[in-house]
Amino acid sequence: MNVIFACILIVSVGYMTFTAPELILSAMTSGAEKALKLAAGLTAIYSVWLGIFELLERSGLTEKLSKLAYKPVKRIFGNVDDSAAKYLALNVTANIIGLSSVATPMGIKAAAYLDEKDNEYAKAMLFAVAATSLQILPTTVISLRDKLGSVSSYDIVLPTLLSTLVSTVCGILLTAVFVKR
Amino acid sequence: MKYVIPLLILAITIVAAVKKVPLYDGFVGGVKKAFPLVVKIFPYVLTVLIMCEVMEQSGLSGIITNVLSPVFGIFGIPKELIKLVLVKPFSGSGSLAVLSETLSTFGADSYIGRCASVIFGSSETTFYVGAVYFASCKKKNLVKPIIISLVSTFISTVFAVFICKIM
Repeated sequence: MNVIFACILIVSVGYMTFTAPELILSAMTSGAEKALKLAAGLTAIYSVWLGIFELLERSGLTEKLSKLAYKPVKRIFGNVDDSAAKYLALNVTANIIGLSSVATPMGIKAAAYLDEKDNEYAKAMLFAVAATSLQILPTTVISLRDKLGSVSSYDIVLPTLLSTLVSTVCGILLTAVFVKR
Repeated sequence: MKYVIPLLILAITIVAAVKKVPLYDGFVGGVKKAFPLVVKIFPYVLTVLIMCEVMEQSGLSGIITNVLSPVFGIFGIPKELIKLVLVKPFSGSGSLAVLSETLSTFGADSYIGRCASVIFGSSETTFYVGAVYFASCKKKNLVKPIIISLVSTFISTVFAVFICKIM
C-alpha cells in the first residue's frame, strides 16, 4: 500500500503542479470531507450490526455452529489434530457468519498452531479459505446500499453468495492441486 | 429476499432471549465496539479517499483506467470497476471507501453499482489476511497461497460481473 500511495500521490500532485496547481489542496480537502461523511454512516451501520452480532455471540451460537463445521474442516484441511480442527472450525464458522472479531483471533491461533506442527499444507489451505471469504450475508454492503439510495438493497445477496462460493471453491481446489501435502 | 434480514434479527433476538442473554446489555456491549472500529479504520479511509480524489482530479485515474480497460475488457469487467478490483486485495477500509464512491457516482441499483457490491461482498483483503493471520509464524511460505487467493478472487470477479448481468 505504501508503494501504491507514493506512486499515485507523486504522479498526481506532480502533474497537477503544472496543469492545475490551485486545485491540489481543494481536491485533498474534498477527499477528507467525503471520508467524514462516510465515517458517520459507517458508525451507524456498524452499531446496528455489532449490537445484533453481540447477541448472537453471547447466545453461544458460534460454538454450536462450529461443531457442524468440524467434519468438513477435517476433510478440507487434511491431516489436522483435534485442537487445530477446533480453531479452524471456529475461524471458518465466524467468517461465514460475518463475525470478524471472533474469526481473526481464531485464525491467528490456528496459524500459529499449524506453524509449530510444520503443517504447511493446512497453513496454505487456511490462507486460501480465509482470503476467499465465504460469507453468507454481506451486512455492511446491504446497509451501505440502503443508505445510498438503493430501492432493492438485497438484490445482491444471492449473486454475492454464488460469487464468494466460486472464489472459495477455486481457492480450495487450487491449493489441493498446487500445494504439497 | 426482503424478509432475510428481519427474520435474521428476529431469530437472533429470540434465541438470545431463550438463552437468557441480557438483551439490552448485550446489544449495548456490541455497539460499544462500533465507534472504536470506525476510529481505527478512519485514518485509512480518509487517506484512500484523498488519494482517490487527487487521482481523479489530476486525470491519472482516467489514464490508468484507459490503459487497463482493454485487459479487463477481455474478461468482461467494466472499466468503472477497475479501481475497486485493484484496491480490494490491499486495503479493506480503502476499498470500502471506493465502493461508497462507486455507489454514489453510478447509483446503487445500476449495473456498475450492483457489480461493485457483489465484488466487495464476495472478496477479502488478501494481503491483510497474510499480514495478520500469519504474522507470528516462523515459516512464511506465503507466495503460493497469495497467488492462489488472488487468482481465485479474480475468477470470482469475472463471475460476479457475469452473474450481475443475468440476475
